Amino acid sequence: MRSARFERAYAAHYEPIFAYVLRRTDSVQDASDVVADVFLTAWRRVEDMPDGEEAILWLYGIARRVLANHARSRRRYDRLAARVLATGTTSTATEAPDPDGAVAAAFDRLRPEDQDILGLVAVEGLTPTEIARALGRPAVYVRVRLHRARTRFARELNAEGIEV
Amino acid sequence: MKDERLADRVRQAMALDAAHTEALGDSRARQALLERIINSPAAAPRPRRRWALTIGVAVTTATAAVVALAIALNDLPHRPSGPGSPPRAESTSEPGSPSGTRRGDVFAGTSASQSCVESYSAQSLARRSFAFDGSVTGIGATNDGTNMFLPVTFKVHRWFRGGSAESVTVKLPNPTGGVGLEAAPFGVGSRLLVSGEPRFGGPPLTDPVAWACGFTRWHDAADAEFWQQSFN
Repeated sequence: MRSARFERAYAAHYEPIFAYVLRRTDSVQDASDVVADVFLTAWRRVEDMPDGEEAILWLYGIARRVLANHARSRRRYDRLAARVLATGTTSTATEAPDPDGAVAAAFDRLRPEDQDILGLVAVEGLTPTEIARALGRPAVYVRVRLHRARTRFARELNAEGIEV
Repeated sequence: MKDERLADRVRQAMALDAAHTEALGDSRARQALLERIINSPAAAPRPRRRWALTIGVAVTTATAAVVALAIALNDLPHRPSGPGSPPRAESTSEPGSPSGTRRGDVFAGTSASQSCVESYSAQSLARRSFAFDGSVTGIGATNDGTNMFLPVTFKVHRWFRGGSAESVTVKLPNPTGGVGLEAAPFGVGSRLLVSGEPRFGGPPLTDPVAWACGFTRWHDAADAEFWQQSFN
């Protein structure tokens, strides 16, 4: 019963959790280590795992905790500009080109907490209410944090000569 | 519209490169991890504990609502909820004073408490596998290759759960190894209330990891009494 419940959640949420971790770690190996820790924790605490859509919010909460303690996570952004320049890859078709790495440089200057909450909204597609549930914090707290992070990102983009 | 343009920029900055995208689609690695987890005896699910603190449900709800409102208004990172909540929630200290005058969460305001899997309360505390009152006698170097934890040795004054030895070594979250750059807030001689879990399951003191988020606290008499009641 426990195993089946865990396997359903694993099948449904492995990829978004892995993607979330990949965006916040230096390497695939680092991300794999973190994801293993996330799902090991989830397996051990499967009795506490909520049902349905809430499960992924719970998993995001665990992943954030594991990442926050992961020494190498902060260095991922140090290499981001170079990586974008080298590969020219972008995650969605709507993204504007960043030929000189200015967007990545502006993002890199944000605090990790700001980067994380901006990513949870823009990339993971969570609403402030969902983030609040994932973090165990009031929604108003998340909205304030998000507003501040957006303001700081806009300021950093402006410093790079990018208007938003 | 401005938020949407900013979101585009965020996606641009956080784009995955080809190697990362390929890793996402690696079904063999995905299946291997699942089997490793499911078949690992050390990672067996921890059965849900029954705890005795079932009274005061209405008080719990009211207290939680008040605490949530307080957090929202004050933008505070963490406060406990639940019946019999400890008298002091956040960490406080007097400038220049030793650990004896600090109170509350040892890791308050550090990266170790940025995201909490569980909120500190009588009920969640009572679910921890080990808990004790001890003084730090030694802090080792990180040795697990991740820099995530510091092995810290304690002289134990009182066990609440999980052990009986006079001394124990537990891994504490390493504030300098996380997202933040904070120095370790504790040192030799610090007296702490420590609770946590075995890292990958099993007996309480198998690779024990102290939890942040209020579950490891500066010692004071009121919190010690609260812990004693929670584990009874």
